[in-house]
Amino acid sequence: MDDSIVIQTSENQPVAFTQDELGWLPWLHPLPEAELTERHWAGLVDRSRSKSAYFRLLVRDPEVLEARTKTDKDIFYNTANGLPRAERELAAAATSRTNGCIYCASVHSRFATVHSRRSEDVQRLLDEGVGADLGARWNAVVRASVALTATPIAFGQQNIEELRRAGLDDAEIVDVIDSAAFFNWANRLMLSLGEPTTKVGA
Amino acid sequence: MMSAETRDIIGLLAGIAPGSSLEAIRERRSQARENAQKSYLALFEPTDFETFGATERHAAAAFVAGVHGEPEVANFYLAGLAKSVDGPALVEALKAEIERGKTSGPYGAFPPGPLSVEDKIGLIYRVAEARKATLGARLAAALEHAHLLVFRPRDATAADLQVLLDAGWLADHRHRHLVAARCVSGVSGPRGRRLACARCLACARQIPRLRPAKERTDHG
Repeated sequence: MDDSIVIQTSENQPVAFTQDELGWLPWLHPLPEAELTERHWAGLVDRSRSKSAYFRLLVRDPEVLEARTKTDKDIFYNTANGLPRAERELAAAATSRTNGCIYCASVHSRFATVHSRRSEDVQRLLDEGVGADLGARWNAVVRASVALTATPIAFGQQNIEELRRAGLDDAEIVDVIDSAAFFNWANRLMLSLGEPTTKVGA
Repeated sequence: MMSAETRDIIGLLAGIAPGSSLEAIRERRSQARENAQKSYLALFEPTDFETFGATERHAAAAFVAGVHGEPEVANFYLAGLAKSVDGPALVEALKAEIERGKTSGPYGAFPPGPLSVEDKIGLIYRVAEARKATLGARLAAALEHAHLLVFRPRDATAADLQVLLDAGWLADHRHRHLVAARCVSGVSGPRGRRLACARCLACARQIPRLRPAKERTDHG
């Protein structure tokens, strides 16, 4: 495999946060689909993820990708109980807005809109930033996510109390924490291994 | 070292007692819990360390935890180093670099445009020249990259990956970043009015997952 970086031309780099669909271009070579072994397929978990350059890059370490993907799915898609999906996506979007991952924010702000039908509020988070007033419950989720994204971590008792006042129980609070924490990982992968493009399908 | 096979790393580092209500809440996301543990094992107790040795893994993790201001977590990883021959000198060097690297994030620049008003300037961390001999060029490059990812991830560019390649890290397999321990926090018992565990270990979030070059000719 080519042990070199890939220089992208950056002609179509987005310069603002958006709910529009974006593409993502890797700076290291993804594995070609034809070279994927059974271990790689197991690491991808969903076979459809092989269509993504991002996952074909991460699958170079199939053990960690498999564990990571299963963690991701449980945090975001296990809606048997706990926080509504829209608010998990909101936490992911607020985290991405804070770290500055335009690509991640685009995906998860779209999901937040789909599940909440509050497109305008989601757009205000992107346009005005994490200080936008989105109502008590969303404000609490956003503030908790921002506090978890600060280094050193600023999350504390006051966040717990604000989330409780907004009606979240302990299990839902843990879902907020997990969602924001997971995106502190995802943001760093996407920001440091490639770049977004407005050219969809990239 | 402790037996990570039998002890849940997040529970251990966060001080979550077995049988507690917080533990019960974590059980609701059992896949997330089990796989966070598997991530830890894959990174720190792999069946094959290949050319990314245990020392470098623990050194990078300790640095990341340390600059997060999480000394207990840093010490957990430093303890894994102290036993090796060069351990004590390495531990001292890492502790000094942790102090030099401490700051507040995230900061960094956005792509030039309307978001530029949100650009924030901050520390561009570089390992002290005096400690490069102890740490080695490869680990020094890894610490600088780790600091970039922890505090100013939006500044990362392809050129930063080139720096790692030049320092002897391979892009072929392990160009990933790892989570040593994700995030743990929690809320307390039946009365549920106090934070039992604000030990949020999103701290030990990311360290470079690059592999040192050894057989680069295999990958040309």
